[in-house]
Amino acid sequence: MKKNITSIWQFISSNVFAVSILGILALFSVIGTVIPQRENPDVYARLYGEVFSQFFYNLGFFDFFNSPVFLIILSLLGLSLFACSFNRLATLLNDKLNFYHWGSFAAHLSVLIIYLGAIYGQNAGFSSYVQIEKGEIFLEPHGGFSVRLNDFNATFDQNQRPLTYTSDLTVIDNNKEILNKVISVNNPLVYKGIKFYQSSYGLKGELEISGPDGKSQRLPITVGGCAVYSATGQMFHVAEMIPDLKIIHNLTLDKYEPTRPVVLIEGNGYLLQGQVRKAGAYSLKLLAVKEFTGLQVKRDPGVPIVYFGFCLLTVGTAIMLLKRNNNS
Amino acid sequence: MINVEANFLIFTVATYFLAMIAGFASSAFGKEKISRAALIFLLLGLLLHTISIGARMAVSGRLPFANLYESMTSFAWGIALITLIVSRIYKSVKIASVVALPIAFLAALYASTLDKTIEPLMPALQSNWLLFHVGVAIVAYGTFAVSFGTALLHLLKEHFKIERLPATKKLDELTYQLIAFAMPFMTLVIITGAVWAEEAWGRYWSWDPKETWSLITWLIYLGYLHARLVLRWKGRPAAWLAVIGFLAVIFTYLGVNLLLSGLHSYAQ
Repeated sequence: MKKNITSIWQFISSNVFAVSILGILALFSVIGTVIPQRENPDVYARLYGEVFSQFFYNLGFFDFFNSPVFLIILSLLGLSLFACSFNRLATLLNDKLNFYHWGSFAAHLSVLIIYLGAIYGQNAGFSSYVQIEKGEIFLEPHGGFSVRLNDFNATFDQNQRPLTYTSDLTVIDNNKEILNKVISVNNPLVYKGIKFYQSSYGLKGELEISGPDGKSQRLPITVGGCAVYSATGQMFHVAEMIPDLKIIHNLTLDKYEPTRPVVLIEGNGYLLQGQVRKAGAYSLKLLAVKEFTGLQVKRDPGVPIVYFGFCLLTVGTAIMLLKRNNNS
Repeated sequence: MINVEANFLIFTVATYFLAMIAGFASSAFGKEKISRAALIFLLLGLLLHTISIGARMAVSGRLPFANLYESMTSFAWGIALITLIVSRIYKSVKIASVVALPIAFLAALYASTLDKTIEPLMPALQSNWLLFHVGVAIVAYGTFAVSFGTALLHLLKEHFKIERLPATKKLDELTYQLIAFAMPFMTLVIITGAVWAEEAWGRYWSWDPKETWSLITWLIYLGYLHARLVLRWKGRPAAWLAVIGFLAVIFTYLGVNLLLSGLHSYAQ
C-alpha cells in the first residue's frame, strides 16, 4: 500500500506528467474556443445536427470550461503543481540552492495561489447582472443596501461611434444617501466590497395585448425581441424602440408629441405610448418605454489572493530570467 | 497628416522588402557588404516606420492601439525593432534575422492595406492599462517572431543540410534564449489583461476566446521551456514546439478576431 502511494506520488511529481498535462490543457482548451459556448439548443442543432449536438452536449462541450472533463484536467494540473512545488521546496531547504531556484519555486507556487484565490472567490463571492431604469432604486440583496440610477448617458462622435457610457448612481443605506458616483466602463463603484460595473444599456418597454378571447396580457418588450400572446401563441416582433418621438425625423404622424415614446411592431407600423392599434383579431397598446443601464454587480473576495499570485508569478519569472541571463 | 502616415508606411514596406532581399542575398553569397546593406535598409525602414506611427499619434492624439490597422503597424514595428536588436547582439547568427524580417515585412504590408480611418478609443479601451498591456505584448510577440525565425532556420538547416547556415546547436540555443526572454513578458500580457478585465468588466478571467488562446500560447511556450529544461529536449522536437508556439501567437493575435467572436471584437 505504502509502495503504491509512493509510486503514485512519484508519477504525479514527474516532469513527464507535468509537461503532458500542459499539453493536454492547451489542446482541450481549443475545444471551448472553437465551439460557441452557452448558446441556445437550436443554435447547436443548426450547427452540428441533432445527433452530434446531443453527443457534444453529453460531453459538456457547450459549457466546456465548467465541464467535468475540463475540471479534471485543471485538478490534475493543480496536483502536479502541488507535487512539483513541494519537491522543489524540499530540495531548496536541504541543498541551499541559488536564487534562480527560489524564483522557480515562487513561480510554481504562485499558480497554485491563483487557483486557490479563484476557487475561494467562486464560492465566497457572487456575480449578477441587473438592469435599472432611470429613477429606479435597486435593492442589492447581498449587501442589504440600495442603489438609485439618477441618470444614464451615452455619448457618440459625429459618426455615431461610442465615446462614453456613464451611469450616475447613488448608494442608499439605512435610508441615508451615502455616496454618489458617476461610473463608466473602466471606473466601477465600490461599496461594502460590492462592485458595480457599467456593462450595457438599452431600452425596455411594456406592451398590452388584448386577444380574441377577450382577455388581455401585459408583456415586457425589448428591441429585436418579441411579445407572445400566450393563449394563442401569436407573436409580435419589436423592430424598433424610441424613448422620445422627436428623434425620428422622417415620420409623419397625425399628432406630434415630443416626449412620447414609440415602438415599431413588425407588420403593424409605429405605435405611440398610450395609443391603441388593431392588429387583426388583437389590439395592441404601448404602456411605456424606458431607458435602462445594465450593471454587472459582484463581490469577489478571492481577487486579492489572485492578485498576490500574479505578483508572485511576475517576481518569480523575473528572477528566473535575470539569474539565467547572468549565468550565460 | 494621414497622407504622411500612409506614404511613410508604403516607403517602410518597400525598405523592409529591400532589407529582406539583401538579407537573403547575404546568406546566399556570404558577402559582408550585402549584409551591411541589409542592416542599413532595416535601420532606414525602422526610421520611416517610426515617423509613420508618430504622425498617426500626432493626429489622433492618443496611443496607436485602437483598431486592427493601428495594432498591426505597431506590432510590425516591434518585430522589426527586436529583429534589429537580436541581429546586433548575436552577430554570429545575424542571419537569424533574415527569417524574422519577412514577418515584419508581411505585417507592415498587411497594415498598409487596412482601413486607416481614425476612430475614437471605444469605452472599454479608455484605460491606463492599454499602454502597458499592448506594450508588453509587442515585446513578447516580437521576440516570439524572431524565435520562430531561428527555429525555422534550424529545421531547414537540418532537413536540407545547408552548409552556410549557422550550426544547429547555435540556432537551438538562440531559440531557447529568445523564448526564455519573451516568456515573462507573455506572462505580463495575460496578467495585465486579467487585471484590466477585472476593472472594466468585473471579471479577471472569463474564458473568452482571446483570453483562452493567450493561455494556450503561454502553455505551449511553457511546455517548450519545461521540455528543454527538465526533459532535456534538444534539436528538432524543441524547434517544432517553437514553430507551433508562434502559430498560436498568430492565431491569438489575428485568428481569434477574424474567426471567433468574443470580448476583443473591437480589434476587427
